[in-house]
Amino acid sequence: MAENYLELKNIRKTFPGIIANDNVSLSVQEGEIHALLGENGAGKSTLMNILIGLYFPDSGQVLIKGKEVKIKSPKDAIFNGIGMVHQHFKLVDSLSVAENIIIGWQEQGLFIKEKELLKKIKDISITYDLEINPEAIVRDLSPGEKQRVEIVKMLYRNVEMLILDEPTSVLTPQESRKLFVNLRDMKARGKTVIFISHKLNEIMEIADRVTILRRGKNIKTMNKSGTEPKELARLMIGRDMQEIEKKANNLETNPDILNLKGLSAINDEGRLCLDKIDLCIKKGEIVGVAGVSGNGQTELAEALTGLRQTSAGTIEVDGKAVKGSPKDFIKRGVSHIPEDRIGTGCIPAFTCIENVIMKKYDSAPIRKGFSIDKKTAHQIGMEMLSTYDVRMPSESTPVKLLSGGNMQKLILARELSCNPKLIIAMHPTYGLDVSAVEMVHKYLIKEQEKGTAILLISEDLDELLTLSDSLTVMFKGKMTEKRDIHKWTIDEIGYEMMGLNYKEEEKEALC
Amino acid sequence: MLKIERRRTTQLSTAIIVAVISIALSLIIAAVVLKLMDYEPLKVFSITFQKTYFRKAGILENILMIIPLSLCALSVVIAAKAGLWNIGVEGQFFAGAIAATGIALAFPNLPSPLLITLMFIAGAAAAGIICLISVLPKVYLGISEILTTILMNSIILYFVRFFVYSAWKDPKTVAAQTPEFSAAAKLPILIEGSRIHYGILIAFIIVVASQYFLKKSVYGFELRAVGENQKGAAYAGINAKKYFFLSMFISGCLAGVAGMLEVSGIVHRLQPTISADYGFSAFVIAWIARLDVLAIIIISYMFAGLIVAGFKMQMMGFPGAVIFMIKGLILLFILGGEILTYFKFTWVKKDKKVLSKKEN
Repeated sequence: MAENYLELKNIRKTFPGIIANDNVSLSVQEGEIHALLGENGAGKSTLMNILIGLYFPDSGQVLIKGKEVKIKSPKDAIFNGIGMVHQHFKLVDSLSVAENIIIGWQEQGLFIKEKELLKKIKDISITYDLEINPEAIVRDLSPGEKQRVEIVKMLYRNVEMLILDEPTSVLTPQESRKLFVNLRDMKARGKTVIFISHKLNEIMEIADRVTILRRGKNIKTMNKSGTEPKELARLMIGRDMQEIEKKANNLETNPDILNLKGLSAINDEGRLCLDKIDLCIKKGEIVGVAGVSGNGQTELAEALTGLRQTSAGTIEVDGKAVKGSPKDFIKRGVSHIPEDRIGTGCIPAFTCIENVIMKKYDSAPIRKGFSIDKKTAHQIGMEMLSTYDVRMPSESTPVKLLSGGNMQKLILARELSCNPKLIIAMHPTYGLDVSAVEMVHKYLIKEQEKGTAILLISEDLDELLTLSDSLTVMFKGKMTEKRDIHKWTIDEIGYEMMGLNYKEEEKEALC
Repeated sequence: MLKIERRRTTQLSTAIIVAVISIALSLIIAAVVLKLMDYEPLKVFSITFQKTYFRKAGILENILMIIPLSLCALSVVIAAKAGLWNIGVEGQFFAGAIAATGIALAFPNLPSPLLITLMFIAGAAAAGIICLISVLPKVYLGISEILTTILMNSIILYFVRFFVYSAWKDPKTVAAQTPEFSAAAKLPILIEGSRIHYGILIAFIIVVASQYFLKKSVYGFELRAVGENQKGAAYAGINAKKYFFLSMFISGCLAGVAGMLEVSGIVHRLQPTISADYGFSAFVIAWIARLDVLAIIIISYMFAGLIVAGFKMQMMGFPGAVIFMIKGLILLFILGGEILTYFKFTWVKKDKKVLSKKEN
């Protein structure tokens, strides 16, 4: 049996009010791909942040090759051969790839030997088949390319063990496959990989062994060959997963609820971010929008809710053109589940009641003259909160103290209880645990059955494939034609996400 | 190992204990300084304290000073609730005083109620508009309102000098002041034998109205939403710009009313010394009161005592610098003590020892 490269013994880490890691132990063998599986909030990230010196454990030991080490900073971690690629990249946008690779690396000396540096980067890039251009500016790279830069950065520092935190969340299906090839290659060269994920199929594909964390405790470590996805899911969430039932709809004859014609808009940096978008959504239809983040999805959601001014084109809701402020859109029956729950979706310091009545306070019965009738507000608010099963210490608790799932339920309560005609849902399940995800999906399906049109923008392809009736892909502000969900293949979606117009004859050339 | 944790909630009792300890500590240090200057600290404190808080004259003076302090503090609060920093309260106070003085000098013979109403409107409007102008660069150009409101202070204070030294100077004296107002422009006294004038009723009405506006009205709700999270408010369909303008206008008006009441009710003319740093004290009061409208009245009373005590000590022959120092110490400790109400300091035993014992 291979030697343990890394061993964590009884790691405990608490934050005010929560135990993030409760005596977690983990052993990773040299040269294996070890998956760390768990829901959001299970303690995966905390554990890895301890390993790379961002957090310091309250108690417990870290052993590398059998020797106890104290890791006090990411630099310490790198000297111990451990490097991490974070889910949100830690790169300096305005610098070149090469500069990003050496930044903060003191072995460099006072002056940069540029030729040597470029050669070394090239060597690594060729050895591991990680294609990067050292002279490119990071700002211009796609998420997939940025990820490769992060990996090369760690290899440049001669790490023995690479930690990847949810690495596929920003990738297209093809890029994910390429990443897996790279990882197997690294493994073949003796590197150890810790792969953090909550996607079961990925783990079944890439991992040798898998450790499951649940609510800060480690549940089990096992060989991949000895398990199956269903068992992993059960261990991860503590029960069986619910299957979503979606009825097949015949939408052909339904009237259009949303109709976009030639919609264009400019982003905060003044660049074109929506480029002549045409789209129609029929009554009771869920249209999914796939795409790598940053290709105009945020701006599309903003434009469709009045938060962003459009520069050309028309938005028609239920047959009538809408233009203007968020209030105009709200009045026309457009609800919005925003991507940034706490920054946009609510007023964090306001109470649950105040937040849930945010779209009702301005009219009777809550509004009486110039005043807000506290009693009626409380009554109506409580009803909404209990209908959507928002769990809170008390109704006067500030919303910022709620968990992500409960906060999302509160937002759903507010957005769905005003009988919308159209819902713009952006990453509605991002960062939620499995039961909250199931709940959000259930509510969306319920809305659809009532005849609400839904635009579902998500980075989670599985979510899009289960919920959508039809799908479109965004790339650099452009949108593909909407097609029935069954007429797409995963590969086609992936190519569109990368901006490659998929054609039969190109298929082989690209594969 | 010392561990610092943010408190999830702050109990009222903690806040009170911290405040008491803060004041005690600052008095101890002040006592040491007084001792070094060969005074009897205990005697000085007890006399000052008695004169300020336990003699009728002192108490009435404190109450009188609640008027400008609470109005100026409210001015800070209304802006802060919309997420804005109005540091120009001192200037707006004077703007209100200037406008009111202008009306009083221009129409000395109008019937008193009409003249005072006009002075009130002019004082409020002038300061409100100046405050509104200060926020324009923020809304349209993204320039911090902190800068514009601070700079506006200097501009207005120079205007005050212009009026008292030149345009409206009282020809009868050499002092820098305007002529005394006609009887019609003076607010009548409310409590005989004191200087407390009808302005205290106006201030009271304004405090109650502000409390209603912020806590109960639809506009107050929207204003607070904008202040807490501009993006979230926009998402809910609230026009943030509108509330930036509205809150700053009201904020200015309140400071302006304070200035108007001061010239009409107490000084009866414009002088460059009508404010005992009310505009700046208001900032401290507003934040110690945690932007709570009702707490402002209590804190204003305490603070008024501090200012009145300073006057009393000056009359007893203490140098002004010592008084400033003691006032400064008290504020420093109170604000420093605030940290204790937001954070908790606890000693944590190192777990490692426990662990190694277990292993043995």
